[in-house]
Amino acid sequence: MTWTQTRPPGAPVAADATAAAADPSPADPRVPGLAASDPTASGAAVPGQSASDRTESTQTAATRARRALRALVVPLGAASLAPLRRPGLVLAVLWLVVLAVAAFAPAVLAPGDPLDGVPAEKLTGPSGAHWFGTDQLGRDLFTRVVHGTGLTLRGAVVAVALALVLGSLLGLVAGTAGRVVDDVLMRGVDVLLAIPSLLLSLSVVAALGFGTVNVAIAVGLASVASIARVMRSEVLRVRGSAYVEAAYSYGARPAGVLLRHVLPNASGPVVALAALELGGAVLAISALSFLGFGEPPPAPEWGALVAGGRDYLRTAWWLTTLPGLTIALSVLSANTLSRALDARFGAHR
Amino acid sequence: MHAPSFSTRPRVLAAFAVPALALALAACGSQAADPATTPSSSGEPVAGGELTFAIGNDPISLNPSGTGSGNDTWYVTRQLVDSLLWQDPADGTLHPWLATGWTANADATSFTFTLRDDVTFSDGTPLTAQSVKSTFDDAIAAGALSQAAPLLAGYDQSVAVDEHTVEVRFSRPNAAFPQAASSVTLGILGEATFAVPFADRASGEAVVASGPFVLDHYAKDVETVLTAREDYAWGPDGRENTGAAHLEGVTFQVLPEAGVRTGSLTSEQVDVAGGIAPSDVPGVRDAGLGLVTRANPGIVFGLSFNGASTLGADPAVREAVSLAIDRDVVRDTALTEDFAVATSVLSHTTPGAVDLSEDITTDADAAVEVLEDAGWAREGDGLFAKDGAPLELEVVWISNFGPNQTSLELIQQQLKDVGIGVNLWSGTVPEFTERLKAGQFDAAWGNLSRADGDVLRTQYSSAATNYYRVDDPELEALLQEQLTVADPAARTEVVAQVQERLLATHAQVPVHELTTVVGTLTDVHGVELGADSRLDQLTSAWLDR
Repeated sequence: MTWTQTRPPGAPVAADATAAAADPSPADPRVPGLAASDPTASGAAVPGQSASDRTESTQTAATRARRALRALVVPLGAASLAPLRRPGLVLAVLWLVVLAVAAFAPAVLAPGDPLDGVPAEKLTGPSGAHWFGTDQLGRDLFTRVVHGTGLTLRGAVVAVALALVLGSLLGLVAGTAGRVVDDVLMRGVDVLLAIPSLLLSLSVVAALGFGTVNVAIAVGLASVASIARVMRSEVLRVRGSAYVEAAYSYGARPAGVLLRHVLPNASGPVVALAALELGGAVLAISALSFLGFGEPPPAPEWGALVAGGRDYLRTAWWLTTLPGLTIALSVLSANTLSRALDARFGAHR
Repeated sequence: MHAPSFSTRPRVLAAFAVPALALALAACGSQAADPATTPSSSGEPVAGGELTFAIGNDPISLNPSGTGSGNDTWYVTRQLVDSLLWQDPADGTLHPWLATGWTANADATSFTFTLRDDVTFSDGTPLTAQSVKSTFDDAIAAGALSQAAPLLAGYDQSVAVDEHTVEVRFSRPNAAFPQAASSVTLGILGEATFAVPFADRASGEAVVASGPFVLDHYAKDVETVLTAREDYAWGPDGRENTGAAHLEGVTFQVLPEAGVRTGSLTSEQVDVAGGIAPSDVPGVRDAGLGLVTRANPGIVFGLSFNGASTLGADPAVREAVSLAIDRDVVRDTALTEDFAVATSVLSHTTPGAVDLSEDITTDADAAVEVLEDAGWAREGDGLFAKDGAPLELEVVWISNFGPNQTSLELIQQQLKDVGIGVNLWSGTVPEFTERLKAGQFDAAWGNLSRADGDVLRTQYSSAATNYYRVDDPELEALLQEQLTVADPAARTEVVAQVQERLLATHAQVPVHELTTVVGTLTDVHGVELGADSRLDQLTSAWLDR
């Protein structure tokens, strides 16, 4: 595994950001008309602004709902329309659904107690009774992996949410608040990017103390920088678009333009990046719990399960291999989903 | 058999080089080993060859009394330094080494050692009474930097009576001193060592000693390479070889992962591997490789309670914990049959240990009864509680021994079954020590190896580090008394009373003994563990190839 900054396949990062800043093209060359050039806020939204306040708010709500619906339907549609063409994506989504079930209702998949073992049945290989075999205390490994999903996945979601909120905010401010603020924020982001993310996470965990939540915060903070970068470059791109100019010419307030036109159109690649970060976060959280920074034993965090099997590498391969495969499949699924999202949102660019 | 690996190639060359070198040396009148000896498996040692020894931790400090990483450090430094006395692993008795004899006064405050007159340090200077005095004075002057301070408790001064007689005086009795004088920590150093400040000696370059090996180079976290001293001739009589080592040199290679150490051994990339994980032992044995095992002397693995915490100070809680732990299951699950279930707070290889196994019982029902009698009430099927506070022990531990986590998770499960909750906390060694110092725990899991009952005083006396804050005047009196009795038999009697007292109050709940397991290739012979179950000097070791 590598610990360099993860970046989405199609997202512009360093070079694009400066290029966009240097070349704020006033009009989108792909779209001839001004009013029709906003791909998400359709033409109806623009006349809505000249109507009364009440109409504006309902219009906004309707637009938001439509956007949210489209964001949901787009990836689902890709899966339902062409499942045969994208079997990888279908499998990835299926796997993520299984993980979600494991995270929120582990007893459905594995009704046993993850902490209770039968010492007499220790270190038995995978079988019908124990799908993943048993560990050194005779605990069912499948049960432990399933019950550990919640710990690891919740941590990953917290980490990505933190990175998404903080990173988007930083990127949005940097892209809109003027040159001085932009320079200060982006140099700060440069400093963060210069530090390897695992090292940064380790330092943060050392300062905050052990535990899943602290590990999640540490991992989240370490990926703020890349999200801020992508958000800023997208904001710079969108800010120069013709439909934004049009919105200004209709007399819309800057904050309104920012929230209604810039943010929705800039967030596509960021969402794709967030899906990628989710996989990265699972990996980073597992790495930290492997190193013993997560929940104390006997909590079955994925990384801790791999670490616990290390002493048995020669005698019980399943203790490290099966939790390790679970982690690998989860990260791959998140990456596949991220790629699909990127392709979908990338079409708008 | 395994295919020859790359690492055997240089040894083949060495095998040709050795006779040539030996011939040259013989021509110079040196007493080198007979070059005509042919390699055989009949047990006649073969001279030459380099031994590669895999250890788990970097030594950190090659200064024998500096703070290193414990056993792995002493594996290396033992090769460099000799001690005044040698403790026989067979029975724990003390024998002459650098000292040809020693006497103690009746109240164990003064010890007089007569030294050998043929010993030289690696820089050529001779061993004198002044060397011994300087070594001890230097350790005391270094204060907390030196690990020798607890062994020299009450040190007053050393007096060089004549060139080869030294008297070591204490301001209060220290009957454990002769045994301490056999440890690596109190190894005797040459004068040149003291020219370099104590804190700057960790790299080992400044350490001048009289051991059978000298430092070639030390690369942190990689390896420590030693070469044999050909003029070494003062090994203790109890060893098979009292002269120079058969080996030409030893390389201690750092391999932190236990599985990797075992793998390196089975693939013949190393000749000897220390710290073989219990789970790997059957595999190593089945592969036909050699295993050198010895139960460690000293305090066994177990839970030491914090006398200053509410739960740790409750005798009913301590007794219930002792009754609830099924030691046989812990041994069978987390360890192997090479490990013994504890029979006392001291392991059975410790001089003065008594078998108290009849007082160490498992009875879950009795554990529940003890708690109920003491006013604890079980809440439903859950944990016991008293005055609204649940019975949840904060147990701290470190992973200095691989199976610790497995043992503790199992003990956690066994205690939960009788209604005692356990929260496990682990961290780095400094963090662990910090928590012990601050008293932020109910019980601590650990052991402490030393081939003398005085180890109980250093661990549980309120006058020592006092991490466990044991408030027991009777125990304290016994711990101090054993230091005042110079007669070994009488002292053993006092040490027995200390063990009985610790067990009766459950200040420490013993669980299992530690066994040092070293794996060797089949053609490696003579690797021995000392009385402290740490690697002894490798003078008798030889390679049959």
